[in-house]
Amino acid sequence: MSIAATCPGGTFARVHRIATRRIERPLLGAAAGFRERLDWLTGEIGDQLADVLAQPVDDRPLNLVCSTTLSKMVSGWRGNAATLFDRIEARTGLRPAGLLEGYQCAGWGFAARYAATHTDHRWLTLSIVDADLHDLMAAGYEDVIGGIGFGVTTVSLELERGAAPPLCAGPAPNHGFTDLLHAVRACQKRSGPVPTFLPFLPAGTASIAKRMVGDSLAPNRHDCYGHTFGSDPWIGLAEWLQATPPEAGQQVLLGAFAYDGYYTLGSAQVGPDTRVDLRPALAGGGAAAGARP
Amino acid sequence: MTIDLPHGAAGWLAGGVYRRSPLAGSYYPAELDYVPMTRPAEYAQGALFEQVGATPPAPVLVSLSQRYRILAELVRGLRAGIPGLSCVLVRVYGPDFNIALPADLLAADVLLVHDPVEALPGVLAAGRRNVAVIQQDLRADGPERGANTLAVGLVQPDPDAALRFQAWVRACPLLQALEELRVEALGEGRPS
Repeated sequence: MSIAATCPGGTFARVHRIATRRIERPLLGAAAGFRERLDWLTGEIGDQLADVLAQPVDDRPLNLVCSTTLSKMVSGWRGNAATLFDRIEARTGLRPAGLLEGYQCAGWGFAARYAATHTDHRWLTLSIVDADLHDLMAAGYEDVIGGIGFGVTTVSLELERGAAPPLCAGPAPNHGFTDLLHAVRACQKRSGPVPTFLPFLPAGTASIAKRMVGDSLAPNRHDCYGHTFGSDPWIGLAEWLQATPPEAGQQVLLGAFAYDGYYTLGSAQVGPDTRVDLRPALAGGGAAAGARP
Repeated sequence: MTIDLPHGAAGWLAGGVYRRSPLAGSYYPAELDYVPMTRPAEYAQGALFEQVGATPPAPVLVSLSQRYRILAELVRGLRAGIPGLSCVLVRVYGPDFNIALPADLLAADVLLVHDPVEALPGVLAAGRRNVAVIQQDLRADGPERGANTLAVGLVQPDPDAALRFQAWVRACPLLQALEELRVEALGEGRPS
């Protein structure tokens, strides 16, 4: 496997802002209904996006919503999907250009690749949204993939025109996990180790990632968040930026893999002007928790 | 099934409905999974997916992987048949776990999105031509809604691409298996 084949060249984007809120289960409490939960979720997506859009930019952004777990009652029933988009548009003035769910946790990378390849947008906002609107994903799934977390994350990116988009590949065996780690290693050989943000994983799997990637791998926050699907690397980056704000531009590596074997890896630029908004978690009863995780 | 194009755009659309599986004639796994429900509230949520009413839902005609196979075969056909094809926007929603997408649907010239029409303006604003759109509501599982319709469109086609598209439609077994197959011009006047 050649380095050129597995390591995306250069940085695909500058990260301007990351906002994220963890959702504790059950969303809004056990008695809440699907509509009530969807309304809250739409509001959170809109609020985060509105905050991001308040930052002046020189071009109208493209917004794409990415999810792994959102109910088919949203993504597959046209009326509900249209309502979701109508409300986001009413709140922010920006209508999402699509809901990407097929790529599972790697969706944000495929979204960035699409924006860079097939549109002329310079600004891309990603709404990474995972919520259990039916309170159906309890212990049965956690037996298979370990602790699950949910949340809403919004990322504002300034795409580097002419740069290689994130590496997006699959299907690969072993959930794409091994291939992703080999791609990270290829990037390390090419550019040296840089802070690397990967999904939060149960301890056994995380130890494999640690051995492969080394000290440049950011802390595994699985104990706190569970696996929060596509949001994990962005949450990790947000916490890292908050703890150690860079004094100059800094290259970072972000990767994700999907249950069914797709993976993405991209190099991005962060700096002193990258803003972070780690919002208090929404407690399972519906109230925002006072303390951050 | 039709496609509402952004203002000023034009194209061609071929679509119809399946009354029987286009892949009939062999046994295949149903690939249906279950949601591990134990609590009454979970069953109540599951019941939200039931389709009740005067009109029975359309039958489930294909499995999850057969649906991907159909979409991938259409993408391959468009790549081979349409000169200057820029990208293919494909309706795929989820989540579907345990059934991997084929490599053809993960490629850089494909976007899997819940509604290709929502994504069209961004592509057309960039001046792209020969943009293909695949709309489908093929049912592969009981909780899914849909009428087993399938439509393939070519938006802002170059003249040669428009002719090649119509030829490809005539030669494509998956499209010819549709009942009520219609080929029609889209948008403001016939495309050049």
